[in-house]
Amino acid sequence: MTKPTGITSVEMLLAHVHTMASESGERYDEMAEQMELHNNERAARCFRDLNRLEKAGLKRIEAHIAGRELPKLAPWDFAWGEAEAPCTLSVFEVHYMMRPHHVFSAALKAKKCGYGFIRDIENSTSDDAIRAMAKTIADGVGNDVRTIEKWLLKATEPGENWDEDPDPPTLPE
Amino acid sequence: MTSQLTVKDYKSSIKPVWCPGCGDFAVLSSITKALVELQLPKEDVAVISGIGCSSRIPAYLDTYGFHGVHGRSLALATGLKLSRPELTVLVASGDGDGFSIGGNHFMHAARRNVDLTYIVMDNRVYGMTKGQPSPTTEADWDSALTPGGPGVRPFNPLVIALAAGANFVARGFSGDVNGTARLLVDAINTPGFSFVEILSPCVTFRPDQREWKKQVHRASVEPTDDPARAARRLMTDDGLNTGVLYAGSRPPYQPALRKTVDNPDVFTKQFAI
Repeated sequence: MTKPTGITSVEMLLAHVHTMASESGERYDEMAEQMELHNNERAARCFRDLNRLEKAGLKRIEAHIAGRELPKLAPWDFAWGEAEAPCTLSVFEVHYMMRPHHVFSAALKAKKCGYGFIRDIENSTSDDAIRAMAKTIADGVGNDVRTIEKWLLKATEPGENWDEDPDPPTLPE
Repeated sequence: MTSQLTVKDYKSSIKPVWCPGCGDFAVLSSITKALVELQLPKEDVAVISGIGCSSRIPAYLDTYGFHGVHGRSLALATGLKLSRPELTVLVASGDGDGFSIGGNHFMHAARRNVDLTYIVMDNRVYGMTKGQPSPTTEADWDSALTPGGPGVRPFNPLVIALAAGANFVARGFSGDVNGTARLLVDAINTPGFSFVEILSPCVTFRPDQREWKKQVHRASVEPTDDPARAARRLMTDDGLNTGVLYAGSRPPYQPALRKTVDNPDVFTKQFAI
């Protein structure tokens, strides 16, 4: 990931982390729906748990935003350095038969990416107010990382044939 | 002050039935982000589609929509735009629907240059009907249905769009949600026929396309308004670079509207045998 540039005010930082949390939560919600549609209830529940975690993070960020006016940025104006916000799980990371272990592994990777993004801002800025806010937010995201790590530990590692489907969608009719 | 429309406002309550991991989820996200950016009133947007996985998109958007017949989305959209020019008309298609069954409409829509934005989600396979090769499938793509590959040279949709007269020609990648949203905003804002091919992996029948995430790259050159220059660029196109290839300034085709007939007797007389 490239170093975040363009975070020149606390408001700009908050605009970024707010979008990170909200887009990540929305993506988890969409993935939960996908799993429900494919009768993968276990994975759906995991995505719902992750969505709740993101919502709680979003509330913490909104408390910092209260009373401030955030800059309006187009989706491509954010300083992600990647195609999407760093906490957002890619649409390609899912499989209709994925297990909780897959879900939490992918979510942990995404969350750590988001955590790294905010820590980079904290460590690279010369502005005290931005550094203090980045530290507060990164500490919260760090707690989320540990929560996902605990969930991952509880999830059984899937066997080699976890994606074996006796009636695969690719079977010609 | 009116409140800003958000991504949620543009999404319908119908949940997509695409395979998990399908690139079309990301395209849906890019479309909603583009609409948010443009703040287009929902009632002023119509999304027209044909048949195929990607053509389900109108159902997932809370705008006007029409899920039409196979390959005929551009014909429907052209009629709509000419009769209701105030609408923003998006057309959604796939590589089979758009380039095979609807290939003829594609050329003539580009030639007519009606103000439409044509979004083709290209996964180089017929996914809905279980994996037959499409016009953009590589000649050597080996599968159960085409052992050894179709053996036919694939079609380059950007070449056809440019040669037939499209006013805006671009390629995006579904994995680049924000970059694709930007292309769509530019496409919608450019008058005339805008064509955006979006590489959108089919994880079920083309699992090899998961590699696109590593292979797709942004084009290293700026867009041009010179069709000859754009054509020369296409001669060395690797099919995996994204960005705006061509943005022209040809005026769109929009004939003056005839006076609206509000008395049904006029039609009765006109169509009497």
